Amino acid sequence: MTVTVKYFATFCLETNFTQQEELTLEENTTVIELIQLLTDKYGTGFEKRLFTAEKELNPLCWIIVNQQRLKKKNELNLKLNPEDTISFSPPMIMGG
Amino acid sequence: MNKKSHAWQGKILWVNLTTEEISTTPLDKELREKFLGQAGINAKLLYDHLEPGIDPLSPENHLIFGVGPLTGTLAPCSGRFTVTAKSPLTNAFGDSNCGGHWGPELKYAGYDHIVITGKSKQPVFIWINDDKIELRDASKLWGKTTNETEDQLKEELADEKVQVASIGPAGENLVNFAAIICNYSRAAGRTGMGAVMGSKNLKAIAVRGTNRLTVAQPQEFSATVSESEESILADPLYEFSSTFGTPAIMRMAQNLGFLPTKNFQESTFAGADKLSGERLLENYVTRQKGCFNCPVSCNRYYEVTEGEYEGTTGEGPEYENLGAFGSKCGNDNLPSVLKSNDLANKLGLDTISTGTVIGWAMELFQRDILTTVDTDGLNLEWGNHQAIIKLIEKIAYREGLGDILAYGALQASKKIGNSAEDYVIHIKGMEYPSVDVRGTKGMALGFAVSPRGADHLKALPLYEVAPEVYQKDIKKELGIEIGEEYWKKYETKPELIAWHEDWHCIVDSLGLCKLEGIALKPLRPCHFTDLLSTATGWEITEEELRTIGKRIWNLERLFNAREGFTRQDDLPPKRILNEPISTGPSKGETLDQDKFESMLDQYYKLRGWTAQGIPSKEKLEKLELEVE
Repeated sequence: MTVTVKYFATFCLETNFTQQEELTLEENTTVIELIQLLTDKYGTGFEKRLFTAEKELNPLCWIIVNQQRLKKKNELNLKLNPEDTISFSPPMIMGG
Repeated sequence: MNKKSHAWQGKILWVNLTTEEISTTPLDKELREKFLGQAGINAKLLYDHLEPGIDPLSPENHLIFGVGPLTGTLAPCSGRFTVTAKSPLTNAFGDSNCGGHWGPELKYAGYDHIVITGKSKQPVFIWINDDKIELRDASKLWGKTTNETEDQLKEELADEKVQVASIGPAGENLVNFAAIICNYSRAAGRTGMGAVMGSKNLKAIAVRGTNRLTVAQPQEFSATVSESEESILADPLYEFSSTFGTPAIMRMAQNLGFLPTKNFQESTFAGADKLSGERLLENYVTRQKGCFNCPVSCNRYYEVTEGEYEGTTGEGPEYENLGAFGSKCGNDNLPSVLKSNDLANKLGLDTISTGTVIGWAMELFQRDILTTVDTDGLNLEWGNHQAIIKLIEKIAYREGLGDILAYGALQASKKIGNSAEDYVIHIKGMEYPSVDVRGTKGMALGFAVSPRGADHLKALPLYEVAPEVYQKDIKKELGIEIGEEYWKKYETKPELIAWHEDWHCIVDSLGLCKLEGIALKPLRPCHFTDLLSTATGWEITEEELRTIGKRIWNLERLFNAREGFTRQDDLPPKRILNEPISTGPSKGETLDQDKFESMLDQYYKLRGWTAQGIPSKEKLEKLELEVE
């Protein structure tokens, strides 16, 4: 299946400025498995932005699947569906 | 407060350009205690000395420059100054805040405020060299761009360290949204302060200062400065701000569905990725640039090295510039936006109003209200970046259609007629910044009640959109519990907005940058009291300081009330009220008029204002705001 992955701001520093890409994944791939794939692809810096030293989800990073923000670590077991959009972002701000 | 005015220099400079009289008066203790400095004292001086009802472009208008008690000190992000006058764009209270290095230099020259009145017979510039003040001929500078003016003045005055605030052709030609520019790209942009300067035949103010600036408790002040810097460096958004600056907001606005597109007809833009802060950093940024004493340095130099706009260099742009010349105009060509930004700075134009006015003209073209007959043959189709650049020049030099657009969209719509006004996105005659406030109800309120018209900076409630990051702070500071998608809710927004307005009045009056104070959290009210107390020797509580913020806010409101502004002037335009967002993640979101007016009622009540939005006598007495 194909999903769209978007990287915002500081996450683009890890992806060498790739802002968005289509990835082909196996059926039933979960979000945590996607993160592992991206860590393998872009390095441990990617993962470090997502988790605290205690391996908890960093509240200052947003993981959004379609329009739904994942806030708890167990939500990373969410199975992805074809054509899902997954965003990795620092907190959204407006203005300036 | 100590009698000796540590941190303040204790002096107001008065310059009458008609009579060429120059004098100074002391900055008295009561003024400092009640209005603090910079924006606050500027507002008080304007209120007290300006005759109501005057033409903003007449010699009777007062153009006031001010710095705060912390401007030019070791306090982080303390490079700010404010310019205040009655606005030609809105006929309401006008002010604009600017960074760079000009403000600190004025402080070192020995002045807290400059009040400029009258009109010079010939173009002049003011040369402030410590206590030596001169009016010098600027005939050879007239017609020059802001960067040419800055370079030539440094050469004429034979000092590279001279700081220059100048106007470009737009200010000379009285474009109602002309800016004042310093350090080549830092702009006192909004509300047309550059036009007021031009109306006085004043091309520039050059400043060089070598006076000592003292603080009351050097050791304690130094410790507070260190704490403040540590707070900024430890902030979760520091890396974001320092690496990308505001341009990284572009894709966030897109992702939330708040990105004004094609004059607010849509709220997502297919070309947003091409305009992004990430793309800017990857392809065009050459190095960072900081304002005075700023550990964040969110500004950047850029260069376009290939293509149609090869050779373009400049500084910035901010997110607002990307929105103004980009999505609002349906333009996804980033190099052209960089060219537009640089051109606007050189010509001395407010980029937000300029881009929004052009976007509005493009919608009129879409609707056949304007045709190529009206545009001197220019094809104003969405995304025509060559036409955008041509129109920027035409506005600054008031040529053809540019001569009409130079009035600002609202005033221009009355000259164009034929329902053109229906498509003007403004409050009080000032064009909206790049936020579709139908999705963010607090920002909608903040834009509406700002004394200077549609304005994101007086309230700047960034807490509204990133609430989880600051959840605990919001509860602690405001007692507000927030939930999912807080930005969509009407409830508690009056409290949220009033709190931000009060504290931003303080930030703007102390001389600090609000992107590092309150709006993005690092500096808290406790930092402000500590910095102020140790710098001045004036012991003050957070509650007392916030009361000063309320006093300043009410005074700016009173200025507008005296000019005849009422509740009606706080209402968003038709497209924003009631018409739902048509595209993207926020599709269907509306700013319901009944709910908005109910929110406005609550806000007025919270402020102690009448149902018409006029500060009540009781409120004024409580704030010790004595007015006629």
